[in-house]
Amino acid sequence: MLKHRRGLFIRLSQFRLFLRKLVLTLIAFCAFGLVFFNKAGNENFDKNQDILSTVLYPIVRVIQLPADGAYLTYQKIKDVVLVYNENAALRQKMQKFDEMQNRLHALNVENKLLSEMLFYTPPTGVSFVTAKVIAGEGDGFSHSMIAYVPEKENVHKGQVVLYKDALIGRVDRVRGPYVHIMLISDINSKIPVVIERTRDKGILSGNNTSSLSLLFTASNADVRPSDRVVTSGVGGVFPSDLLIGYISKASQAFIEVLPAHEIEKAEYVKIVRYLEEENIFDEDFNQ
Amino acid sequence: MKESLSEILVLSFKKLIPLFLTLFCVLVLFVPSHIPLSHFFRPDLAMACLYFWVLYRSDLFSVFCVVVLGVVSDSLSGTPFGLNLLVFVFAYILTLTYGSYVNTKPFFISWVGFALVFFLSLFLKWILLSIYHKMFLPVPHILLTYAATVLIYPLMAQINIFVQNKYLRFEGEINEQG
Repeated sequence: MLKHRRGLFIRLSQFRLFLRKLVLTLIAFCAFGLVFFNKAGNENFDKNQDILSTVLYPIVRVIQLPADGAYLTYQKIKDVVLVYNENAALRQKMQKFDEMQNRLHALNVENKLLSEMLFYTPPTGVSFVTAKVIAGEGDGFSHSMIAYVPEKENVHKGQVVLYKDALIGRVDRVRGPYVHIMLISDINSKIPVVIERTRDKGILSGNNTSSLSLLFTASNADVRPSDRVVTSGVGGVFPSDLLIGYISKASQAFIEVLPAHEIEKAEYVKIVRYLEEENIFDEDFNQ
Repeated sequence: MKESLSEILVLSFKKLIPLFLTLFCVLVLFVPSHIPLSHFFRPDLAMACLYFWVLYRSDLFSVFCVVVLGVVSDSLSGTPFGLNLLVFVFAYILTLTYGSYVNTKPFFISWVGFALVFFLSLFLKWILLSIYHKMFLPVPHILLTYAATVLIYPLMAQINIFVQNKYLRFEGEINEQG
């Protein structure tokens, strides 16, 4: 009797072990399938992620609060230390700005007159939505950011994201008030650009590092370190002449670009809404 | 002796502590530090926790926990959905299969074990993402993450040992008696 029970117990535990292995294999296969199913860009699949994201993003936001507090304290101490030097530098800058303002005013008037003569149509107006960065990811596998915007703001996929005056990415997913931003340094990011000084075109590609690669530039292009790289507007995804970064290394084989600002420092980012884009959106909505 | 409802609830909650701790580590990974280049030195705390709990208390860290971890990580990450889940499952299987060789040995051996498991997991992630993007991902930054994680493992292990001794020892004693 005891022998029979022991045998039964062994068989049961073997069955449980087999079941666990089976479940693990099934999960591994499902996960593998999901990775490549995701590549196909299924819309329904994206919608299913909504529920999870709506739950998780607020949790990250809460966890971020103490980290934010620590960073703010550090920043305040740093500010106090630096404030005297900055004041002196700012006074000098203010003097220069006063001179420049007068010059700018004169140029503005001149530009207006010349535009009228050329029948030049100015580009569409823009408005910004400020978004608070609540999560960031920038390891060797992916470079992205999650930002919070009030729900009433009209933000949608593909919109341009700026930090200070430079482009840092575009909206990849919108989950309620949370926006998932694909950064320019992400391996999926490919942006048509021009070198501002020479107007040489190229494709700026992220590679999951802190620098970017400039590809498909003409072999005879005159590229020099510290040249400004701006969007070309080709393809219509990004508007033209938005600053992205500066050339840091240039050789025949490889051109490296550094982003204009350190993206990791971003606490708030600007999501750009082009008025023309908004009108199209409104028209679609009305239809 | 029958346990009261509150005792059952407390016990169930205690069983979930490893999962909550590891989940917290996953979420912490996504909190922006605002320090330039800090992302590249950011250790994968979740993997360290997963390894520890599967190695020493696999009874408290089931397949369900691994699935939850993977799904949460995939939802927050910019990598393709399912990738982190696959990597976590891979690490889980490795630790469960070969953990018996190291869990009774001195701590240093289990540390080496973690270094191996984490290396293989990162390699799997790297190779899969490289296939996904049809290009090789840059290795130096991944190696930095690897080094940071392996170096921080003893600290994570100490935290987990503290949690285990403080909150889960009672559960362990029951198991021993059983």
